[in-house]
Amino acid sequence: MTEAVRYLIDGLVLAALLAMTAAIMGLWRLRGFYNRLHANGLTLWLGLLPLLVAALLSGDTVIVTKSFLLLLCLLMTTPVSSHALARAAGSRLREPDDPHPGAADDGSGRAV
Amino acid sequence: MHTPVFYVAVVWLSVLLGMAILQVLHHRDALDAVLAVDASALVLIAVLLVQTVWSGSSHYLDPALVVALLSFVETVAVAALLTRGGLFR
Repeated sequence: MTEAVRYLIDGLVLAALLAMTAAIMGLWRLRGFYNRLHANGLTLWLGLLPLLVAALLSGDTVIVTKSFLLLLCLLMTTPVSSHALARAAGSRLREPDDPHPGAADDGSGRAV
Repeated sequence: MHTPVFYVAVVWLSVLLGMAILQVLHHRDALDAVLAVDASALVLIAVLLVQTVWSGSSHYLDPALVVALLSFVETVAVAALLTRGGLFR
Protein backbone atom coordinates (compact mmCIF):
# COMPACT_ATOMS: atom_id res chain seq x y z
CA MET A 1 0.00 0.00 0.00
CA THR A 2 1.53 3.28 -1.07
CA GLU A 3 1.73 6.31 1.17
CA ALA A 4 -0.75 8.24 -0.98
CA VAL A 5 -3.40 5.57 -0.51
CA ARG A 6 -2.83 5.65 3.25
CA TYR A 7 -3.38 9.41 3.33
CA LEU A 8 -6.50 8.95 1.17
CA ILE A 9 -7.83 6.40 3.68
CA ASP A 10 -7.05 8.85 6.51
CA GLY A 11 -9.09 11.51 4.75
CA LEU A 12 -12.00 9.15 4.14
CA VAL A 13 -12.08 8.03 7.78
CA LEU A 14 -11.96 11.61 9.08
CA ALA A 15 -14.75 12.65 6.67
CA ALA A 16 -16.84 9.73 7.91
CA LEU A 17 -16.22 10.80 11.52
CA LEU A 18 -17.38 14.34 10.72
CA ALA A 19 -20.56 13.12 9.03
CA MET A 20 -21.39 10.68 11.83
CA THR A 21 -20.89 13.41 14.42
CA ALA A 22 -23.30 15.63 12.49
CA ALA A 23 -25.83 12.79 12.30
CA ILE A 24 -25.72 11.92 16.01
CA MET A 25 -25.88 15.60 16.97
CA GLY A 26 -28.89 15.83 14.65
CA LEU A 27 -30.55 12.96 16.50
CA TRP A 28 -30.04 14.89 19.74
CA ARG A 29 -30.83 18.41 18.65
CA LEU A 30 -33.30 18.38 15.75
CA ARG A 31 -36.96 18.98 16.44
CA GLY A 32 -39.51 16.86 14.66
CA PHE A 33 -39.36 13.18 13.93
CA TYR A 34 -38.90 13.52 10.18
CA ASN A 35 -35.88 15.76 10.67
CA ARG A 36 -34.27 13.18 12.96
CA LEU A 37 -35.08 10.47 10.42
CA HIS A 38 -33.21 12.50 7.82
CA ALA A 39 -30.23 12.80 10.18
CA ASN A 40 -30.23 9.03 10.52
CA GLY A 41 -30.14 8.64 6.74
CA LEU A 42 -27.11 10.94 6.70
CA THR A 43 -25.29 8.44 8.92
CA LEU A 44 -25.40 5.86 6.17
CA TRP A 45 -24.64 7.87 3.06
CA LEU A 46 -22.00 10.25 4.36
CA GLY A 47 -20.74 8.18 7.28
CA LEU A 48 -20.58 4.55 6.20
CA LEU A 49 -19.94 5.00 2.49
CA PRO A 50 -16.45 6.59 2.96
CA LEU A 51 -15.53 3.79 5.37
CA LEU A 52 -16.69 1.15 2.90
CA VAL A 53 -14.67 2.84 0.14
CA ALA A 54 -11.65 2.84 2.48
CA ALA A 55 -12.17 -0.89 3.02
CA LEU A 56 -12.44 -1.41 -0.74
CA LEU A 57 -9.13 0.44 -1.19
CA SER A 58 -7.32 -2.16 0.90
CA GLY A 59 -7.18 -4.46 -2.11
CA ASP A 60 -7.55 -7.73 -0.22
CA THR A 61 -9.99 -9.96 -2.12
CA VAL A 62 -11.95 -11.21 0.88
CA ILE A 63 -12.30 -7.72 2.37
CA VAL A 64 -13.40 -6.27 -0.97
CA THR A 65 -16.00 -9.01 -1.48
CA LYS A 66 -17.42 -8.78 2.03
CA SER A 67 -17.55 -5.00 2.11
CA PHE A 68 -19.24 -4.97 -1.28
CA LEU A 69 -21.78 -7.41 0.17
CA LEU A 70 -22.26 -5.15 3.19
CA LEU A 71 -22.67 -2.14 0.90
CA LEU A 72 -25.29 -3.97 -1.16
CA CYS A 73 -27.12 -5.09 2.00
CA LEU A 74 -27.17 -1.58 3.49
CA LEU A 75 -28.18 -0.10 0.13
CA MET A 76 -31.26 -2.33 0.03
CA THR A 77 -32.31 -2.38 3.69
CA THR A 78 -31.83 1.19 4.92
CA PRO A 79 -34.32 2.92 2.57
CA VAL A 80 -36.89 0.26 3.44
CA SER A 81 -36.48 0.75 7.19
CA SER A 82 -36.53 4.55 6.83
CA HIS A 83 -39.72 4.26 4.77
CA ALA A 84 -41.31 2.00 7.37
CA LEU A 85 -40.45 4.45 10.16
CA ALA A 86 -41.79 7.39 8.16
CA ARG A 87 -45.03 5.52 7.48
CA ALA A 88 -45.34 4.67 11.16
CA ALA A 89 -44.89 8.36 12.04
CA GLY A 90 -47.32 9.43 9.33
CA SER A 91 -50.00 7.00 10.48
CA ARG A 92 -49.92 8.55 13.94
CA LEU A 93 -50.76 12.10 12.91
CA ARG A 94 -53.70 13.84 14.53
CA GLU A 95 -54.86 16.22 11.79
CA PRO A 96 -55.25 14.92 8.23
CA ASP A 97 -54.18 18.30 6.81
CA ASP A 98 -51.30 18.84 9.21
CA PRO A 99 -48.44 20.13 7.04
CA HIS A 100 -45.87 18.48 9.29
CA PRO A 101 -47.53 15.30 10.52
CA GLY A 102 -45.90 13.81 13.55
CA ALA A 103 -43.34 16.58 13.62
CA ALA A 104 -43.29 18.85 16.65
CA ASP A 105 -46.97 19.71 16.55
CA ASP A 106 -47.14 20.45 20.25
CA GLY A 107 -43.90 22.38 20.17
CA SER A 108 -42.01 19.79 22.18
CA GLY A 109 -40.58 17.79 19.31
CA ARG A 110 -42.73 14.77 20.08
CA ALA A 111 -43.73 12.55 17.19
CA VAL A 112 -47.35 12.66 18.45
CA MET B 1 -4.46 4.27 7.90
CA HIS B 2 -1.97 5.96 10.19
CA THR B 3 -1.87 5.12 13.88
CA PRO B 4 -3.08 8.48 15.33
CA VAL B 5 -6.02 8.52 12.93
CA PHE B 6 -7.00 5.02 14.04
CA TYR B 7 -6.96 5.93 17.73
CA VAL B 8 -8.84 9.18 17.14
CA ALA B 9 -11.44 7.32 15.06
CA VAL B 10 -12.00 4.56 17.60
CA VAL B 11 -12.27 6.92 20.58
CA TRP B 12 -14.53 9.32 18.68
CA LEU B 13 -16.82 6.55 17.42
CA SER B 14 -17.04 5.14 20.96
CA VAL B 15 -18.20 8.55 22.20
CA LEU B 16 -20.75 8.68 19.38
CA LEU B 17 -21.95 5.16 20.22
CA GLY B 18 -22.41 6.23 23.83
CA MET B 19 -24.37 9.28 22.73
CA ALA B 20 -26.61 7.15 20.51
CA ILE B 21 -27.26 4.72 23.37
CA LEU B 22 -28.03 7.67 25.69
CA GLN B 23 -30.49 8.84 23.05
CA VAL B 24 -32.18 5.43 23.27
CA LEU B 25 -32.50 5.88 27.04
CA HIS B 26 -33.73 9.49 26.74
CA HIS B 27 -36.15 8.88 23.87
CA ARG B 28 -39.18 11.12 23.55
CA ASP B 29 -41.32 8.60 21.71
CA ALA B 30 -41.21 4.90 20.84
CA LEU B 31 -40.31 5.74 17.24
CA ASP B 32 -37.43 7.89 18.47
CA ALA B 33 -36.11 4.93 20.44
CA VAL B 34 -36.22 2.73 17.34
CA LEU B 35 -34.47 5.42 15.34
CA ALA B 36 -31.73 5.73 17.98
CA VAL B 37 -31.24 1.95 18.07
CA ASP B 38 -30.89 2.02 14.28
CA ALA B 39 -28.35 4.85 14.50
CA SER B 40 -26.34 3.05 17.18
CA ALA B 41 -26.24 -0.07 15.00
CA LEU B 42 -24.84 2.04 12.15
CA VAL B 43 -22.18 3.51 14.46
CA LEU B 44 -21.28 -0.01 15.57
CA ILE B 45 -20.87 -1.00 11.91
CA ALA B 46 -18.61 2.02 11.49
CA VAL B 47 -16.42 0.86 14.42
CA LEU B 48 -16.12 -2.58 12.83
CA LEU B 49 -15.24 -1.06 9.45
CA VAL B 50 -12.49 1.07 11.03
CA GLN B 51 -11.13 -2.08 12.68
CA THR B 52 -11.22 -3.84 9.30
CA VAL B 53 -9.29 -1.06 7.56
CA TRP B 54 -6.78 -0.88 10.42
CA SER B 55 -6.09 -4.58 10.86
CA GLY B 56 -6.46 -5.69 7.27
CA SER B 57 -8.41 -8.70 8.51
CA SER B 58 -11.79 -9.58 7.03
CA HIS B 59 -13.18 -11.15 10.21
CA TYR B 60 -14.70 -7.91 11.47
CA LEU B 61 -16.98 -7.68 8.43
CA ASP B 62 -19.10 -10.73 9.33
CA PRO B 63 -20.48 -9.22 12.58
CA ALA B 64 -20.99 -5.94 10.69
CA LEU B 65 -23.23 -7.73 8.19
CA VAL B 66 -25.11 -9.48 11.00
CA VAL B 67 -25.65 -6.20 12.87
CA ALA B 68 -26.91 -4.55 9.67
CA LEU B 69 -29.45 -7.30 9.01
CA LEU B 70 -30.59 -7.48 12.65
CA SER B 71 -31.11 -3.72 12.88
CA PHE B 72 -33.13 -3.82 9.63
CA VAL B 73 -35.40 -6.60 10.92
CA GLU B 74 -35.79 -4.88 14.30
CA THR B 75 -36.65 -1.51 12.73
CA VAL B 76 -39.21 -2.91 10.32
CA ALA B 77 -40.81 -5.10 13.01
CA VAL B 78 -41.23 -2.26 15.50
CA ALA B 79 -42.41 0.12 12.76
CA ALA B 80 -45.03 -2.44 11.73
CA LEU B 81 -46.15 -2.67 15.36
CA LEU B 82 -46.40 1.11 15.71
CA THR B 83 -48.15 1.81 12.39
CA ARG B 84 -51.84 2.35 12.84
CA GLY B 85 -53.81 0.23 10.41
CA GLY B 86 -50.86 -2.02 9.64
CA LEU B 87 -47.68 -1.38 7.73
CA PHE B 88 -48.47 -3.52 4.68
CA ARG B 89 -51.81 -2.06 3.75
